[in-house]
Amino acid sequence: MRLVILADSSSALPAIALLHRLHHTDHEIALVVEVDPAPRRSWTGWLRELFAPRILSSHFGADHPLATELRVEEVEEESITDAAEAAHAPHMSVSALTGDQVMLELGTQRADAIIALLGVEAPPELASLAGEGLLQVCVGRAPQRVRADALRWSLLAGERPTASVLHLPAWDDLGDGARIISSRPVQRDHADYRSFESLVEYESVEAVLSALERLENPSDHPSTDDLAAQRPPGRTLHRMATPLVEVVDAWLGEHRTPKHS
Amino acid sequence: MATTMAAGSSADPKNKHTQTPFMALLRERAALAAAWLHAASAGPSAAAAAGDASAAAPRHGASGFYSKPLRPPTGWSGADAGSTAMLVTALLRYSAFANDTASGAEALRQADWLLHAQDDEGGLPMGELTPLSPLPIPIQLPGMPAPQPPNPRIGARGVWSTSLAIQALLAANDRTHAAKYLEGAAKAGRWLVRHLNTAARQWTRGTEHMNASPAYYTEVCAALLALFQRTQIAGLREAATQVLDTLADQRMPEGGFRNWGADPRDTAASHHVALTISGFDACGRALGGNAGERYSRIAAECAASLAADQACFGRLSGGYDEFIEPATDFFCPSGAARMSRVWLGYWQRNRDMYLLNAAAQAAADTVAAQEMSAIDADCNGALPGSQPITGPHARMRYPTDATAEFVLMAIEMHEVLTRLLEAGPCDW
Repeated sequence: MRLVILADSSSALPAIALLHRLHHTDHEIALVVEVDPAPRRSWTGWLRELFAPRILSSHFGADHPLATELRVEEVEEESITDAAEAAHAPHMSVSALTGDQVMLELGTQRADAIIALLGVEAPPELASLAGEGLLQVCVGRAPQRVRADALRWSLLAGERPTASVLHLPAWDDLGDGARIISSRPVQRDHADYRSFESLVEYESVEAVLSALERLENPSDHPSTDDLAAQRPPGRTLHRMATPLVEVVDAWLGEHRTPKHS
Repeated sequence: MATTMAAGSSADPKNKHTQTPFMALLRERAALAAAWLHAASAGPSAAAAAGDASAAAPRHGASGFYSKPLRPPTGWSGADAGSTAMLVTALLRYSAFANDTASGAEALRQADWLLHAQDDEGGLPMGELTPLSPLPIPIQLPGMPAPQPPNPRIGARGVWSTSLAIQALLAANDRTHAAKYLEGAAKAGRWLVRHLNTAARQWTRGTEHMNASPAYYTEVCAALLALFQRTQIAGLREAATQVLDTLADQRMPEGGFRNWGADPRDTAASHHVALTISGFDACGRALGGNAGERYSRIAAECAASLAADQACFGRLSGGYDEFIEPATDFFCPSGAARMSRVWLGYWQRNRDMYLLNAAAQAAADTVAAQEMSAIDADCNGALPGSQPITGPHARMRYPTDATAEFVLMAIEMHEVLTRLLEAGPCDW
């Protein structure tokens, strides 16, 4: 499939891992779009990049399964730009996914699917720019949980932490027909609880690959009601109030103790 | 602060590992607010003593508000039956929450005053009871007679204060099982039924303004229905449903009420909006089934609108118009506290995370509005009527109702957060 990948700083590591994986498959990466609110052409952007921690070398500890995997495979790319170059994919940086120029650039790629690995919900109108539509990676089982505190919302809802891929078909520029087509729960025995978010990030890469396989071979993966999207009308769970953040963090804090200690 | 509290619960070592920082803050702030309520309970005697230091402290209710500019020299207003009733409910709840016997005793003393203030028909006085003085403020000048404490059994009776007294007396009855409180509540309920204007299907006398019942009198109906569930007194349920139907019919097509507050010409404070929603919700649940469905639906729709508004603008506005659109730029702490309680109720019934988040946000905003570092130390622990205090709702005042509402909100929020913390994430 011909793919366009949208990523931002909050999803840099999964984006690098996904580019690395896709490079070794039959998929063609048409374009990598990095959404950066402070573009590098500004002096603050240069400063930020100069002093930013290196993604693989220092930012993520040894307990991050994606970082560990990339180190084992001797991947040396430290940024989305480097990873795109290594995968021989064109790269562009935009400050926001809005505006006619961005839409025109994405539309001219004639991609089969657009993969959104973003910390925010991608505009649903992007679905009409690719043949198979938009694949939105989100945390938990509800599509509105792609914003800040997504993992906390998922835990508060009593859900098992899950990386899901929401599929918006090309005809659906309002997002009404969105469905979760791939869902990868965090394995409880995979590791201890210190790195909930890293586990979800790890599973998000697997979920995207699984979703691509499902799109390529839909007959092998009949849809089930279990993966239906839950979208309460008009409600987006943006920021979690501080009292609830503290409760969920207390849950995580209790579980941060290694299981076998 | 006139009264110091034991408030040992915040330092309770057993809570050390079972609460989050915000829960600890809620405990601490609830203790401060309860201490302020103790001071408000003693307020009128301080006001009287300022006029005549030798006068023995009269039997009195709680102050309606604290405001140095409006009620010099002490700052405490005269006794107010409605505020006293709110104080009784809050202190009884706090007493059970923090195992504080002093609060329970003070609440029961004020409940006894409510019984004392009831006239023979069962009504409670409306508004502030001012000392009988030739001057507008209770001070004594040389050669003039000393201010005399007011007689609460004389004067106009109010629908709102009587309904609040029902809830307070029912709470006192729950605590003590003393028949006198239930009898007092029943007497007040009969007064409300007797003074209902059956032609207009609402209360037109004993109301604050306009000779009509504002939308927040749904809370009066809720008190009648709560009393009916205990006593099965004839006429209570019928009176409540008559008024509820009248108020529900006044709902605008846009979803809100033009008469949220006392005066339909003014922008309603969110305090009155929250009371309206809370009353409809309580009545819908009390009536149940098809009878309560209409009221529950109104409450749910308005509560969802306010939650969406809060999510959009960051915090609740201090006032709303009939479109449930924010109409002011100040903050109403008592409205946010009441809405937090309403949303918590929805969360407990249907586990709607969206409303739980709204409740938590409103609670955090209300805690931030509590006065903590005022130059006038007597303000500390209280909630202002508006934030900033120059806002139009209870301008320049610290109403007792607002602080009582805050105590109730802090306790309910603390209980919900405790249950959440104990339950933990799902067992997967």
